[in-house]
Amino acid sequence: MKRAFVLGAVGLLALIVVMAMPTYSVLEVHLYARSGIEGPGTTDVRYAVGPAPHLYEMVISVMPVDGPYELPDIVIVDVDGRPGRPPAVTGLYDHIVADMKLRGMRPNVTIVDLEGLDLESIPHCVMIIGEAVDMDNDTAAELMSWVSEGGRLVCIGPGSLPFRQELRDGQWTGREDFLMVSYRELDYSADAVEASVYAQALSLRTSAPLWALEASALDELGAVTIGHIHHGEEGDLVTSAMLSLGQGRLVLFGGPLAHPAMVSGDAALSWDVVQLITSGALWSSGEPEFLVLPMSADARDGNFTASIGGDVVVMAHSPRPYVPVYGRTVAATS
Amino acid sequence: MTERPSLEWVRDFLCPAGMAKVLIIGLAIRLAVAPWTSYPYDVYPFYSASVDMLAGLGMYGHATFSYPPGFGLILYPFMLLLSLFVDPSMFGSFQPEILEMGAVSDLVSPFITAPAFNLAFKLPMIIGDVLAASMLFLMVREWKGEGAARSAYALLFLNPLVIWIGSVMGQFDILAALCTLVAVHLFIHQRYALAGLALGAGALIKIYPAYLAVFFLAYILLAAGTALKDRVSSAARLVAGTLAAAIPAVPLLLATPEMIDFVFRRASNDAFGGINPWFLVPLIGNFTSSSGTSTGAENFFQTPMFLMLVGLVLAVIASVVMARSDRLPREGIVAGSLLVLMIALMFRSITNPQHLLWVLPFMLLFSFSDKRMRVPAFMLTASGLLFFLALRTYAVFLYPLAVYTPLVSVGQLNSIVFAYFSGGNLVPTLLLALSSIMGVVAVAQAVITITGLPSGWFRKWLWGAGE
Repeated sequence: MKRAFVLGAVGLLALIVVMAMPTYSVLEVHLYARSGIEGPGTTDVRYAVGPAPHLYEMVISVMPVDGPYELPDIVIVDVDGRPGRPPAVTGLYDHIVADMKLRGMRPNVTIVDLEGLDLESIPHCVMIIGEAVDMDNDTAAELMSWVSEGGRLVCIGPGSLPFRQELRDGQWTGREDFLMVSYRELDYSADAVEASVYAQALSLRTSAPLWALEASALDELGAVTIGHIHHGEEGDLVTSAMLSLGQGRLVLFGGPLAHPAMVSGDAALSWDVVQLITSGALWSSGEPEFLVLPMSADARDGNFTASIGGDVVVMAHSPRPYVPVYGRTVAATS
Repeated sequence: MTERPSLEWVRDFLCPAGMAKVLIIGLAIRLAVAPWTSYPYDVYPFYSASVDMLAGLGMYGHATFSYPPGFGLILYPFMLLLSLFVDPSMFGSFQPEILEMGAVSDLVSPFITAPAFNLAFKLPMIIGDVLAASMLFLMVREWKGEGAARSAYALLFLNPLVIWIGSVMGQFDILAALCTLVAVHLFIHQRYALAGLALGAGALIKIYPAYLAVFFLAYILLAAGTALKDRVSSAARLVAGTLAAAIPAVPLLLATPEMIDFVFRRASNDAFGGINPWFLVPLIGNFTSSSGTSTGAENFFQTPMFLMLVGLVLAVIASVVMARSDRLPREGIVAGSLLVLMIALMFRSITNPQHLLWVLPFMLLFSFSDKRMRVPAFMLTASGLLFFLALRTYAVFLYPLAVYTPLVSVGQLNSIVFAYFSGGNLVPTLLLALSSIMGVVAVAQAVITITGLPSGWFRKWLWGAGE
């Protein structure tokens, strides 16, 4: 009897271990894109995905981009300078690597100390500054040039953008060629939030940072809101925005990285960064179009036409983690 | 012929004679509160690990689960069973209204898990509570008789902190504590390989039972009157048993090598505080800033790693001292285990109330040898409960009730939290400080009770051992 118990327990444990083992079975969505039959400014997209064990919602985005590109290297800057990596940096690293791995991608993600940052060696990477940074004007200007020459810079939270003028007593202070960007504390109200087109198309999650960006200052810069817009009496605030600088792109997030992780922490920010990269948003030449397919566990197969021509990145994803699906294709439809 | 005694033993173990009422009352309380309560901030990683495992991504799929794999493996069958009746998309829901509290508290997640999920998720802890109480009953009965064993069972199973941690909060420390109880029981009976297996299983759930291995090894290797060969053989069996327990983790380790990194790096924290002597660090931070408790270390001596190393050295010293003491074996093993676990509890950067379960069963156990231990055990219970309630008020535990029933609304709960913080951080800080002081004093009193420090050592030094 005792032996039977032991054998049974060992067998059960082995079965549980096997069943709980990762199989990386992200449901693959097959996507095909080509020039639309309705005209040169359209793209026909066909999607197909097999049945899933559980219900899930799926979003397919079509992003117009400047041109086909390869998955870039990702550099996360550690500005802390103290022993050990701060959680803001390691959290971003862990989640970005994990989210990319689930999609079957293994980009080169590295953490670099601010002092050891060699901009010439990373000309076209995506650089992330996730903390407030204290940088002298000359170095900040070099970083700005790096972006203008084609770099992609993501800055999270107030103080993370090195080439920024600050608003003090109603006056902008700092180098004149630096950007006039201001942040304000966000008093979150669930009724006053609106998701931008990018946020809907890519299911961006950073929706409640402690500090958000003032929309009026961003409008002056010609920035595009990619996150959520919080309407308020003192003017609108946005959780994230993107603007072109020369040939490069600057993405600004509200912040700092804080709890809860799913709306303002490393998990949300990492998801957003990965979505911006894989969807092609960091190379976009216009707003995306998207299709939301409702909750279902059945196999899905269908077509739709987007009013976007030229080079496009088509991506499918599920907004919530319980049934992760992913598919992506890059096509020149002109 | 042999089946009946085995089954009877199992029945007696799960519901010891005369404890049916206590068992039913304890279970009824737990099953009543478990579905409708949770701590949304803590439960999200478990939710994420659950849906990740069901989706075939493994528990570390989205890098939100940063515990050793033991609890994930325990949780999986419960979630698999739940998924047969409830689609994972219904396991929880996003409640943006909760984010309105962001100005006063960032430690509340807007994702609220559903009652069915809460119950399935907490069932392993409820089972763990039953098994831990039964184990304590068994150990006390062997030591002090049936009457004392009944008291021990009731003291643990109806302890409000134990109920709160497993059935309200949803933390699984009782499972690791159960493993340590089993390990100590087997060690007392000189079943060293099995004791090592229990310790290893505990370390697979939470790392801290590994501290007990230090004491066990010291106790075996320093045992007087035993041949060196026997001592080495016993130690080898203990180590082999511990290593054998790690076998279920090997396939996971091969598939997700980053697991080690997640467990040892992500689980560590650069902040200090909770119910330990370092609670003053974040309290000072609370007065000087409104955001977070992270201190950021200027040098190695201010890091959690240094604190842990100090704890480890102290654990080794305490193990050697307790192993060489002239106590009776059973009392010496229980006292030594409790002392080492208290060191593990205090010498960590963050000691949360759920960590108090590491020592509470052993305090209750020891209290049947020395009744003075009852006071620190009760103080520790009060300290843990006060800490939970002082952190963000009771309201944050009731969000499932608000979201999934019409009895109370999210807005009403939010307003309770707002009211609590309306006067600033002073009242919460003072209450947290009070709970921390109570907890630290309780542990100090427990150490004094076990070791006789400082009066016992002083008397011994003054008048010699022959007093």
